[in-house]
Amino acid sequence: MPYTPPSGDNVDFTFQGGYVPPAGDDVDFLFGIVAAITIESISRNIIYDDQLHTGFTTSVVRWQSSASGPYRMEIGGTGVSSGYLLQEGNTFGNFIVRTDITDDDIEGSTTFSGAGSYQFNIYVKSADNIWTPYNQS
Amino acid sequence: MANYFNLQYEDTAVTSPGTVELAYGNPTSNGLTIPASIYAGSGFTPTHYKMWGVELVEGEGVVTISGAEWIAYTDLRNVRLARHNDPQYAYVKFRDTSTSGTPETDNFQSNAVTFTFVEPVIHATTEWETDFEELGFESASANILKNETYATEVEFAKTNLDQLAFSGRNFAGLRLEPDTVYINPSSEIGELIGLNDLNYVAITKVFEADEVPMITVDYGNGYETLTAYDNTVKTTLSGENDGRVDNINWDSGTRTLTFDAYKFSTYGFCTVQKVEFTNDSQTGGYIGDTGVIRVYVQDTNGEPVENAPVSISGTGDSIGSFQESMPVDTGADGFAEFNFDVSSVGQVIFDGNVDSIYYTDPDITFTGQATISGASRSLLTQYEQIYKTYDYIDTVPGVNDSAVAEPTTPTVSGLSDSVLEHDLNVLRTLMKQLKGTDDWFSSPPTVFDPENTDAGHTENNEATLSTIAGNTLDAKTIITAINDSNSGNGFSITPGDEGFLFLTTLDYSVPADRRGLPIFESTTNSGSYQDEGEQDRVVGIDLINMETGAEFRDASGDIIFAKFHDGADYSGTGNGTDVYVKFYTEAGPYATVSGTDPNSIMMVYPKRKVMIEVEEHEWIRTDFVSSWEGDEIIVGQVNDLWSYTGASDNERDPDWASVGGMPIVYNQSSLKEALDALNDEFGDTTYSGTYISDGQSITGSLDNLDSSMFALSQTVTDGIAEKHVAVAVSGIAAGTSYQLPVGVSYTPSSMGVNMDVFLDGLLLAASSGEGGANADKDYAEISPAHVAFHFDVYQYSNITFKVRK
Repeated sequence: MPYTPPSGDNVDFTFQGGYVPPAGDDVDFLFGIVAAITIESISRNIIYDDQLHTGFTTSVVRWQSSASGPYRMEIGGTGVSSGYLLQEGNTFGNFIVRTDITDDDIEGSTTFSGAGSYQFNIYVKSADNIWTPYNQS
Repeated sequence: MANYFNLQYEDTAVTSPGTVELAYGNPTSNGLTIPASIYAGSGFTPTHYKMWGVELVEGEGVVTISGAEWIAYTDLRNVRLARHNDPQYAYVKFRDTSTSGTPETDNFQSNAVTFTFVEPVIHATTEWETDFEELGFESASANILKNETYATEVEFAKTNLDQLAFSGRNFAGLRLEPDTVYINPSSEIGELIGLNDLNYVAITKVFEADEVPMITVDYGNGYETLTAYDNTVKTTLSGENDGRVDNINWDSGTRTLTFDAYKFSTYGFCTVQKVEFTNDSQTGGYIGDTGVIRVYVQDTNGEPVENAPVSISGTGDSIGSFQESMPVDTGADGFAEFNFDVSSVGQVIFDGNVDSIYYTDPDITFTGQATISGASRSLLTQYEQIYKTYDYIDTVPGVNDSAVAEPTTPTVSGLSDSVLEHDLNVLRTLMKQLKGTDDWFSSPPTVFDPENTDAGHTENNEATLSTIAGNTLDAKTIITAINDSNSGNGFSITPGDEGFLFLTTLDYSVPADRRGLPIFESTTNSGSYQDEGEQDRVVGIDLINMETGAEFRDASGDIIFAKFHDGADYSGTGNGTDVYVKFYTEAGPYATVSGTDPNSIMMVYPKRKVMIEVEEHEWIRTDFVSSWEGDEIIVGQVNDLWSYTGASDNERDPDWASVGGMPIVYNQSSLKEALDALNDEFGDTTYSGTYISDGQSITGSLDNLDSSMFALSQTVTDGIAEKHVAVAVSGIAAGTSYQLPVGVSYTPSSMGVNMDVFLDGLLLAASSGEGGANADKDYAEISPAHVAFHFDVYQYSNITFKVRK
């Protein structure tokens, strides 16, 4: 059940359990839909540099969002717009998006540092102007 | 449910044996054509390979191991899967012809790929133009949904629709009707189109008639026409309709319309509905004149048709020619305008058409007239003038100049028949100036009227001349108060006076000019003055007793006031020279009384003025309140009070002078608090002592204390003695005068009360009588500086004198 806060500005929250709200008055609560991202499949986990190894340079990622809206796929970073933008566009809910990632994509990013593991993050902005959080699980 | 994944990037070649990978490693494929990556393994450089298990050339079937042939090596190629839903594999073998012996590798097997394709859902009014099997299923770059009956096609191309896929998708949101193409915006395909502003579908429709179609759209507010007659987008589009369609093309030969649709709802089509001559088209002209003829073109959607090519042809007499070359395109307003130069007498019937498809009905007849004398006043010329007022401006430059506002020569289009147009434009400009609005037809401004407003102080009254009338600064008089003390000398009164003649050049207020002095009564000129018999609030004169500064009151305390009477009734001249100030009480006229009434008075009298004459320093008439006759006096009195109390402007909390110690008055916020504090300190004047009496004044108390303290100080002073010691350097015989030490003196007394004398520490007693004449004790005080002992004093005896006085 989505939570609907009472009307008006003076909404007092009582936090129970282990949650400790941050100090200060500037605690912003966002009520709304946060798009959930599902990675459907990744065709291969290793991409080879085509300068040294022709072929096997592309991995196909299929993913979908539970909500419609603009999306960003970034390499690295710790939140939306903090990584290297690999791809952006619009998607709508429960529609599988296919993204082909090549070695050139990784080599062209500002986070490129040679052989190694690279994290790709997908963010979708829901109808409430809220981006999917970093490392959603 | 994570929103992240990791990929490993490697910059070294695989060390494993050769391999072949289908569909980039995807275990499933919706299309038959897929990529295949081929690798011969580390240390082997192939020149050729052969592949089997999949179809290498479309239409030749799956290659078998025995049918596989050597192919020049390439690391990536496309292959086609067989159409079945079981796992499929590709096999590859490599060889190197550049090396002696032409070495070959083992056979390598690819990953398994399973083909699957779910036929997309479509609406009953549509069908796919090409079967997906023929297109390689998801490998298809585009397919078309069509309705042959309605001759309509909609192409879905992956290059035009971001994220377009066919397998398992729902295209039922597209419905094709006889005259419309509809995609439900909330359907799956509708949402896909709406995801990106660059997404579009290409629509093709073949029409049965030759009529040029124009595209319309309905997104909930009825149909609106999007395109012009020449298949361009109309220049008047805005908002949602701007950018809906593009790349519009009409092939008149095949009667085929194609266009790209970006935003979806319902697209329809319209054609030209009517072509007609406008009512303001001229139907005649004199030789030398130019007749203006206009044609309006409207579509079946009821909107003006833009860029429609209009031609006019004539039948009948040859009486002139058009300035324009045919055709003339309509503007955004749907009008095409033609100028016909009349060159001869006769009649011609004009017929208009668009593209030789649509024709005017009815046509119009135009008559050429011979020029006649006074043609400028003819009805025809007047009609033309009226016609030329169709267009207007309300910003005529120099309109406030007579040469422009009242021109003696034509000024606008150079024709004498343009005068009416010019005059109306001048009038419109003047109207705009008068109203102060942005144009000549806007509503006039509104003004605030306290009788026609609401809680929000809305200015409901239009600023018209009628609302201004009666509301100007000089529409009414007001009564001002004039303070006159006869230059500080006052006006003299003699006991028995009923008033006095006041010399002034101020005019009396009369009905024709109500400014001036309000005259309460006139016998000589009865009925001549505006305020005769008027109430005291208008004609009353306030009188001030110059000796007390208060109102003039009689012995009973009744206020004496005055009214102006015609000076001519009281031995004066009257209006413009003098006026009589007649005394009144509430009971009626009053004569002054000796002994109680003042000898000199001043007055505050009324004078009518119009608002615009009122000076900023002038004083609007007020009533007397407790002898305060006006702000000027009150201000003076307040100043006196400030001077008296030590206060000043805006000072409400006394600023006491700072003193040291513990003052009684230092932080009290008012004089009363200060006085109360003093009272507390001084007490209730009840005393229990000896020298001050209960209820005695401070002065009396201090005086008593002073007297008592003085007496006490005297007593104390009298008891204090100065000690002087002497040594008898030789014996002193009894009865001889002995001088006290040099500089010491005393006041002799009969009992020696003013000085004590000790001899070798033994106190002696003074003899009584003046100068100790009785010699009845030890010594005699014979003079202020001498004593005489009554016995002999031995040499070297210590004689001590303690002199008190």
